[in-house]
Amino acid sequence: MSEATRRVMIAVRLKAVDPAASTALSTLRRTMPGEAPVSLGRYDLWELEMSPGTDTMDRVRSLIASYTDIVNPNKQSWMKLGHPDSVPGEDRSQTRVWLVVKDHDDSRSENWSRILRASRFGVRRVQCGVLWRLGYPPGTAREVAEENAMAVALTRSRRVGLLANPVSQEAKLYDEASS
Amino acid sequence: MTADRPAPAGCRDDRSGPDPGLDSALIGEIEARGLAMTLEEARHLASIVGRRPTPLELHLFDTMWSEHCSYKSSRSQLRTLPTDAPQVVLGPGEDAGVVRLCVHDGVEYDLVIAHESHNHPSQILPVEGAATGIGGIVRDVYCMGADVIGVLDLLRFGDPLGPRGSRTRSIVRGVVEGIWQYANALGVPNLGGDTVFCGSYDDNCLVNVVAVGLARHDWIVHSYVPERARDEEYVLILVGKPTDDTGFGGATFASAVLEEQLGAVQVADPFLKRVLSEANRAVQRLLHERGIEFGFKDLGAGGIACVSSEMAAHSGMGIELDLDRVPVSIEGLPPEVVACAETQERFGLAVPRDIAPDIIGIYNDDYELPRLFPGARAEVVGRFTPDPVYRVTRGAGRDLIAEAPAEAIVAGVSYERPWSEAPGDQSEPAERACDPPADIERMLTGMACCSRSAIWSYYDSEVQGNTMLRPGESDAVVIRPLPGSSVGIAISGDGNPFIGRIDPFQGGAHAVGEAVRNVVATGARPMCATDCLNFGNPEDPSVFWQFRESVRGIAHACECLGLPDVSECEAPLPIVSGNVSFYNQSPGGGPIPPSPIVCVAGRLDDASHARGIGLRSAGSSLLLLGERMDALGGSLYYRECIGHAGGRVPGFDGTLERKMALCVLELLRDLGDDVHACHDISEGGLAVALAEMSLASRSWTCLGAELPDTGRDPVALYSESPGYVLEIAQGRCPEDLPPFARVVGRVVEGLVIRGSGWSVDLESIASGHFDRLASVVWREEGLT
Amino acid sequence: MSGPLVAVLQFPGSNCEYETARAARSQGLDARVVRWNDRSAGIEACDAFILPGGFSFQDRVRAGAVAAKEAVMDAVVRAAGAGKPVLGICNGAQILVESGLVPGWSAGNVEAALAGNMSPGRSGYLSRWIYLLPGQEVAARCPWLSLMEPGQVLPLPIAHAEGRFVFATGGASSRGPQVTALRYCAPDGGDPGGFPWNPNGSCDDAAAISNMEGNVLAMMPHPERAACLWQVPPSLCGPWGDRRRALSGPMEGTGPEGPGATVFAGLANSFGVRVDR
Repeated sequence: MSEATRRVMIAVRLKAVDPAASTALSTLRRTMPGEAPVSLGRYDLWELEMSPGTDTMDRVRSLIASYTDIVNPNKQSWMKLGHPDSVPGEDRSQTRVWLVVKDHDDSRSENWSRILRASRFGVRRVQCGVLWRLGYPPGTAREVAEENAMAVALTRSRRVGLLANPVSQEAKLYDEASS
Repeated sequence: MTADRPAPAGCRDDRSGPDPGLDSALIGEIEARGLAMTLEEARHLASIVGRRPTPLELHLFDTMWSEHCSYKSSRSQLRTLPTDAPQVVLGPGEDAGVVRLCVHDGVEYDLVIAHESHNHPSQILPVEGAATGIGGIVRDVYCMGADVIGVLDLLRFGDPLGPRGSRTRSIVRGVVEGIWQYANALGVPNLGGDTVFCGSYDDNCLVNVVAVGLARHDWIVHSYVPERARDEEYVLILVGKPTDDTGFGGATFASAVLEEQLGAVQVADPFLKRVLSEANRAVQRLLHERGIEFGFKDLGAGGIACVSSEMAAHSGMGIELDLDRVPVSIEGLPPEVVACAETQERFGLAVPRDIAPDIIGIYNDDYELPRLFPGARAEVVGRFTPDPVYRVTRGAGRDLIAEAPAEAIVAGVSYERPWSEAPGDQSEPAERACDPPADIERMLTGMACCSRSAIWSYYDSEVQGNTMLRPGESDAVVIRPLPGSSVGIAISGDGNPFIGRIDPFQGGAHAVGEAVRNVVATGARPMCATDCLNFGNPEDPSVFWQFRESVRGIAHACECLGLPDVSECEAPLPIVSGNVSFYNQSPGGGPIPPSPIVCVAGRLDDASHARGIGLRSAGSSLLLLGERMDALGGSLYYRECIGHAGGRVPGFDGTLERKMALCVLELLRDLGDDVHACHDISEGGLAVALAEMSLASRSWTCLGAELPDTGRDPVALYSESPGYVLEIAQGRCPEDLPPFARVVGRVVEGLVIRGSGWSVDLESIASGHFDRLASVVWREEGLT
Repeated sequence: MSGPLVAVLQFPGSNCEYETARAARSQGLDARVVRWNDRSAGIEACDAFILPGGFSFQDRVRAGAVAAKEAVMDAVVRAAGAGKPVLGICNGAQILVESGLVPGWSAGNVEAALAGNMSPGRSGYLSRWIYLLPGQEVAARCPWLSLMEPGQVLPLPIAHAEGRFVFATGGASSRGPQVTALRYCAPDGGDPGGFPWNPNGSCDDAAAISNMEGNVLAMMPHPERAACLWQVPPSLCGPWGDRRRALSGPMEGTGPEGPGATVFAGLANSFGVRVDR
């Protein structure tokens, strides 16, 4: 990524109960009760590498308005990561950990990169992924929450891990404070 | 409401005389609740209940009197469609139509078919709209007691290269994704369907969906409570997803301030539906084996209120519904929302009270519904009563919140809409340049006629293991739904808006004609048809004229095209299921073109005779059925090569269509495998039909066609007047051909179409033909 | 029906269980569809297991990931350990991979993934017919492939969105081939050379992998959709296409066998069962 390129991370959520999140949460509670979070949110993640310019967010907004494949306002809402100050329906007192899961290679990201590079919005590259929001009981130490989050993330065996298969995916904690 | 009953809660202002305040109260309710009913209809409702209607009654009747449920504008026209024939078990009226299919191993089987539209939702939410379209139509078939054996979508999109192309491309991608995500996961094979692109659909895409099912004849289930319920208490079991506020969108109860309006979006759930369908099978097997009569109905528009009143009223009975027993996913919903919400993946089951615990156990314990989806379960929510009154209660005191004669709820309303003739432009182009190599390339690589394989590649057409001919291999997909039986089913859906726009009568007639031809070309005999009538605003007299003309065309074609096994029987091709979709128009763009879409299902006694379109051997004769008429209005050639819509459309000749269809079926019967391939003539005429037959041979050999006599005559090459092309083995073509049939050429080596003095190399066109759709829609390449 | 007892496991969301059982029964196997939570079914006594295709738990989180953690998989893991034949088809293969049963280099660990299809300009679900060759050595160990000849080209349909085998790094390339039981190839048996004959970008062109012992096989293509000749597309090239084009009526019963029948016949053969057809 060149110096001037700006990376914008967009998280898109369903304006309804996300079935994948509820299945994941119930599965984790059953299989890994010690490490499972008490709440789990799921977002489609779009990492956009934008070409230099002062109007980056304006271009991102026009891009999103042009492609209902990315955000369809009739069913989804979106937020720019780094300003996750409005996450409705969530108990803010929980210790929350953000987990980014991306495939090492995927056609979807490559195709969208190709399509959006040809668009007028100044997109250089797109990477698609999933963002999980894991909530742990109030008072849980951040280190403990992060350790548990990585444990439920990385699938090692039938009994251990769920959210990512490290053979084909990477799972990283996203630090909301540092962004 | 009878005098000795307490008034429902919230409606203590019961009165009998004229009420000057009633109108303003009704107007207020209509506005505040966003109801579609007119003041006149609201007054009618007030007179039915004999007081000011409750909120639940308002919403219930609003749904029941909607165009979608009551067919209030269309009913008078729909009566003209032929619906009866000896093979019909059940015509329009319940959730799906039923026809007799065959007897296998001593058991009689029926084909079940339903056809609906999901147009408006798909424009707004392409993925979910298309997915819930499939979800709804398969419920209609499941609830007749059938296994769903296939679905197909008939799609009309805007112009992906036009001024609104960006939005259109997103809609195409989304609709295809919704279809595959739902149907593939449900495990129902996709039987193809068709796709038309036209700028007139930019603001109103059409997503019509058809589902077909197979049921034992003696296990057909009806969508009402059985007569036995007069002697033995029957209850209503509600099963499936917990009820939310789907269909209300949060707009109607702004007072219930939620932090976040979850549930306003319809989330399709093929997973839950798949498990439900398995559980339903287990439940129905149990009931049939114990000889217990029951009723079964899917929940659609109007939700619980609609399903419960219809199940009761169609048997002349009543029901008492206890809303507190309805599982909900959102607490505190107003009762009218619980009763009328359109939450997906739910069924209603009318069974004797004694057996209810066993049924509930199958759903909740054996198939673990509550574990698989939070809050999903089966629950008794009401009981049927011999007293034909519809009652809804809630709360500890069992407060009445709705009460009306059940019959009045389903009686509906009806309108005679005015109409005025509004024929399309009839002008013809001044000149018709004809350069076959350029024309054929243009037609085969344009969006209108390029291969749909990019769409089919997302569809699972083979799940269930019954598929014999897949989309693209033949004019109609052929399945063999009964393992061990030779019987096959061929199915196709069609409708050409470019003809309908010029002449809606012909548009309707040809929709039937082409669907019949596609089915016949595989060797199948049409059994039944379904229709979905997609039009603009019926209150516009010119739109209503288009509607009347199209229905007249469909009725005429169906009267001509009954092709029963026993030739002396003169029954029509029956329409056994259908749907009307009005108001497909936008303020800026006006109404969509008249878009009747007809689906025809046919039977092959021996599916091994099913014919594809791919050419098989050099030297074969090419037999053309149907004279090429100078009627190129609406043709692909005019649109793609001349840039003119034209005005003279092919006239539908029912007698000829019938003769041609019977001729094809006889040739296939008499010549058997010597008929190598058969293709109907539609968009692009004879030239494109032959090119498609040639391209279909490309994957294993390369064969083409030689046409010595067509010259550069656009009528001979591109006329879309109905017809068929058959490839018949060398020397095997009969001598005594009917007057409408003649040999026009022969099959040659190479991917080529050769006329007199010209030749088209199809190999050089092939990549454009097969890749164009994917490159424009999925890769967004070559956009200007 | 007598014959070896084969459990076709129905997970919530499976959708190929009935045709799979049908294809197995036509080879003399006593195949029964068993619901995931049916403890009365006595699956411990079954001689072999098939995990059919579909969308168990709607592929939520990741295809196969949730079903792998179901209690019924305890029985499958035990049976596999005891050497009983286990076949996963499509979603069943995804479940076996997420269960760590294949490739099984170190017992119980997840060492492979079935990742999203990789193809130029396209992503998501793909349905098409492809061609397969048996992997050297491996096929011979595998009861399901015991009737396949070396070099025999087998056309079968695929229908999946996540069918790209990826192996854990650190010797994947050296260990991969040892477990590749079926490999995508060109119609003539030659190198597939990428898309479309390798339809998903799978490592080592793997379409099916087994465990080291060979009794557990995870395959992405659907043999049950090609068990009969009439299921084969008439446009297919090669000998199977020629046979299909020559197919003529009247056709009673299931008619001649298709290319997929060998997988079920192979299992029957390993139990000494032969059906005269």
